[in-house]
Amino acid sequence: MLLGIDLGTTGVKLVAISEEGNILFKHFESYKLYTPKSGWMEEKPEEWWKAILKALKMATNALDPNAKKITSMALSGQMHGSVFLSEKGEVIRPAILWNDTRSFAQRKEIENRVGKKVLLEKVQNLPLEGFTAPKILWLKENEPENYSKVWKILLPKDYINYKLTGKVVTEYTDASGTALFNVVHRKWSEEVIEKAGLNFEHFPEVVGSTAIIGKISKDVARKTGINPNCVVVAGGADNACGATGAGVVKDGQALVSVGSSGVVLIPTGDPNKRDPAGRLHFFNHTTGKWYNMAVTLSAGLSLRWFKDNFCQEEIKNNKNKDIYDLLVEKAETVPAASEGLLFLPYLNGERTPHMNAKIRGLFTNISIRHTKAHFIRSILEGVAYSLRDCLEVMRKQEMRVEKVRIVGGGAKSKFWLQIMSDILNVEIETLKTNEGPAFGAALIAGVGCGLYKNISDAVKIAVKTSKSIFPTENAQKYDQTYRLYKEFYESTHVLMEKSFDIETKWKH
Amino acid sequence: MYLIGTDIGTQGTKSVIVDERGTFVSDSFQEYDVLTSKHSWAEQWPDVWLSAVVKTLKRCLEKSKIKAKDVAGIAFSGLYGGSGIPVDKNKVPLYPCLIWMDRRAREETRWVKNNVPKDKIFGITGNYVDSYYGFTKMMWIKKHEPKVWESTYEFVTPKDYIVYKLTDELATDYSSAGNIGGVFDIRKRTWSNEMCEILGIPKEKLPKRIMKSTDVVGKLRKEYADAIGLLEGTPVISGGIDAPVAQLSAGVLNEGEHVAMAGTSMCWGTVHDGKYLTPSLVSFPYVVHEDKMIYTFGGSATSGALARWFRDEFGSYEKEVEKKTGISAYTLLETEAKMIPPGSDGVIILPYFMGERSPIWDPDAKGTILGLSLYHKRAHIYKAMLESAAYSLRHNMEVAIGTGMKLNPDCWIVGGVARSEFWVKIFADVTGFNMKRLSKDVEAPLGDAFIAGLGTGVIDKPERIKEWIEFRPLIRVDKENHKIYNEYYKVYLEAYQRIKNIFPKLSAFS
Repeated sequence: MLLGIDLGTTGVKLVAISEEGNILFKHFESYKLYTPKSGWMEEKPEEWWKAILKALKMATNALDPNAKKITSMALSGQMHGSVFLSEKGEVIRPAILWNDTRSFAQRKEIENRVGKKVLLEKVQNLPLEGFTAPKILWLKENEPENYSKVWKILLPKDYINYKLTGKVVTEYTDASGTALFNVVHRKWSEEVIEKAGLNFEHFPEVVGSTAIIGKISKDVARKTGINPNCVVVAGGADNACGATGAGVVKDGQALVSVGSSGVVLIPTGDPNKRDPAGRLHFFNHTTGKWYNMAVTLSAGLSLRWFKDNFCQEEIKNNKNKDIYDLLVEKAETVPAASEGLLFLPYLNGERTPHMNAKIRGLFTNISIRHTKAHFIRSILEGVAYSLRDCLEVMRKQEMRVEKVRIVGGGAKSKFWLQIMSDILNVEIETLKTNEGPAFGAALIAGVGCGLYKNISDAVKIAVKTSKSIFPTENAQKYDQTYRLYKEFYESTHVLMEKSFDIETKWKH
Repeated sequence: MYLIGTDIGTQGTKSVIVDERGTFVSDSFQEYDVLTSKHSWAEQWPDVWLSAVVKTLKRCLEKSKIKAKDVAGIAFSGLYGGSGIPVDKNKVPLYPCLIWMDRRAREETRWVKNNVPKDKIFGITGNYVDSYYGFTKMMWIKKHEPKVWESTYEFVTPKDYIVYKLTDELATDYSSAGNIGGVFDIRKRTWSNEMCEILGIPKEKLPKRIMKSTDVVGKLRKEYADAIGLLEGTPVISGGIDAPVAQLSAGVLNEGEHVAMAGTSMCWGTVHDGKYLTPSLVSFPYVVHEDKMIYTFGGSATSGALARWFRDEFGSYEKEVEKKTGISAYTLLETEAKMIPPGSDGVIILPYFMGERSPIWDPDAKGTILGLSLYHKRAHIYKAMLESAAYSLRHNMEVAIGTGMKLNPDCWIVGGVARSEFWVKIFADVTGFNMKRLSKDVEAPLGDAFIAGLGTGVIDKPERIKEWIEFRPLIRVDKENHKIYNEYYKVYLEAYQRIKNIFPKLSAFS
């Protein structure tokens, strides 16, 4: 039996699977996301750890007496976030997450200090404010006292691996997202770290995704009831794990993941096949090969933001249903293109294709006749438009996309999938089990402990797709609204930037 | 003696009884909905108004405990009825009234823009063209409802229709006539033969009697006197369009005095001798001194309507609390919004949720909420909604100032929106004008009652209105906040300029 755990933005998800890929147990445990200021996104690693322990205990209780058959586990984790660890192994401050945009100035600074050319050559990525490097520099410049206490900087899931095994390591799929790691050659770039003004000593040893880190500590075994001989395998970044779990590991395949953020991911065996301008992320895959990735920052988050702020009544009165199902049902009453209501989902700035942390979300063409249902549908559509933006950048790099697999929370809604198929104008495949990166992590755990020969073998045995969804006649309508969506961005981004600057200026 | 004023509004009718010194006795309100069967349509069958008028008058009279014989007279103001109600020879309505909010006369507006020189129409009427104006709506009926057009004996404004039902006398007043625009000669104060010909609107179909707002049109018929509880023969006075009547009720008689009337929509206006006309604003004769005074106003299509829409779509929780506790849902929404700094942390709203009237005159303009981030809460958007109404007020004021008009540093404010001190403060901080609220919030119906007083001779001269009103303490501009708003206001203006050309493209999907 294998355990896969995904340390996500909203909570931790654990799955236990059989060799054939059957789900034996799953559990979700949420934790709090802190937004102390506009653009700030933090979580407390201690709260992650608490949630993990709880999830593990739930698993062993539920699976008992078979829990001792858990021979291997691996974690998938939200990327880029930085956990600052002191020499005592304690967390110094809340982790700054992937979707935090405070380090706007530091991003520029690194770009200036290191130079775009060197960055693209040595780490094959341009650092965004979401990436780890600018966050570390932000700490150095804004919280020098905290920075002086730093012993090691870990990525989120590596902190959990450390708590599980006592070992301070990372692996290359996650290290790729720091903008300090040479993705092609799979090692830290001393040159970039140094030029960026950071300290090479802060970065842990790097291993492969499927390498065993060690056994779980006796303390953890005792606390959770997990077999003390269970090994912890290095695991991977959530995107790499998600792709693995979806069976998207080879050239010619494509994955769209609709979680908090939206991701379009295309694997490649050729490290030279990447966007020369660095608009796409170029990261290591769990296979040891690579993938290109485009990201829209607020996908599921857009819907969640709307739910949290505007749907109190629905939440309160809703007894039996998933709240999102309820909201989507409302949206189904509205025709395609939301009777003109248009949403640009830049609630947290945007990565692909705009690479702009200052732009903001926008609802436009609102008429007094629009209802809450229109707003919900416009959000589902807006997120799909932004995914199409991502796909268009990849298409420009001659990455052919005829069929995509969609995973993540967004894939649960047939209605949203149809909107995405119409707006992306592609055939969409979904998986029989949509358990996301946690499932991929479990497969990695299986490869790590030798149950599968390699990742491809694991995918062949354990990943099954279900029926395809095809574009409908709405695709044509959406082709037009997509163009207007783009036009709105072009016309308004200057305004958003101005408004952002005024807001920043008057904020105390 | 007592005076009665009734204002027939877009979303409700309100009647009020006052004594001859303007002291409030009683009031009554009846709500109704506008018919919006199609996108950009807004119409009403006049029976809805008639029934609301009768009901409110009856209730208000009952509440007052006064004797029917002590009522000197009654005057009416009404929403701007756009086309007015097309009635046949027997004064039977043939088609609903296309009210001011209705935007269907797009083609007709375009035709006028392409075929009638701006100098010509503005030169004669003091107004330009938009689907807001009644004459474009009449042109729409002519084209799309030819049978209605053929049978139309006269286009009757909402309050004139009520006056007709109550008295059997058909007439209109100068403000109502002037507001039709297009065919009204603003200098000669009568229908322009030349414009009637150009626009294809025969003078015969326009109101045949134009009276002063303070003229007695007729006497109350027995049927309605009985239904209401008034005496048969009670004088019924002409009245006028609600905006200038509200303007009068706030005490405006001199140049420089200006009033924001913020209800469902917003009218900001001032009076002058006719020097300060601009095609970006609306101008027609005032409701007193109509021979020498012109009322000029700017109007945003939304104001209270925005708050109401927001409450209905996103404030269901507050509405529920309102039911249980009696605290208004708006007050509850405001409590939250009070925590939000000026400028709503960068959220800017274009309030064009129903297209827009002045000064941009764009039926395709739509609402836009920009600058949203995950950090923003519902309260940010609510506050930004309130601010957007203030940005639009400022926009209208700036156009007026552009004609050379001098405005007093205090702007008077009346209407439903003025009930919210919080919102009024936002108006002050955004516009840079101190806001002066009336201590009683009766607005247009009070003006009607005053007009009833002038019409019946109970009141000797318009200047007495100054004795009727009292103001609440001035709400002053906060200079710091004003500075912040100055910056956001620039973005607000720029936003529309940047996206106005995309709206028509999107309207295909609306």
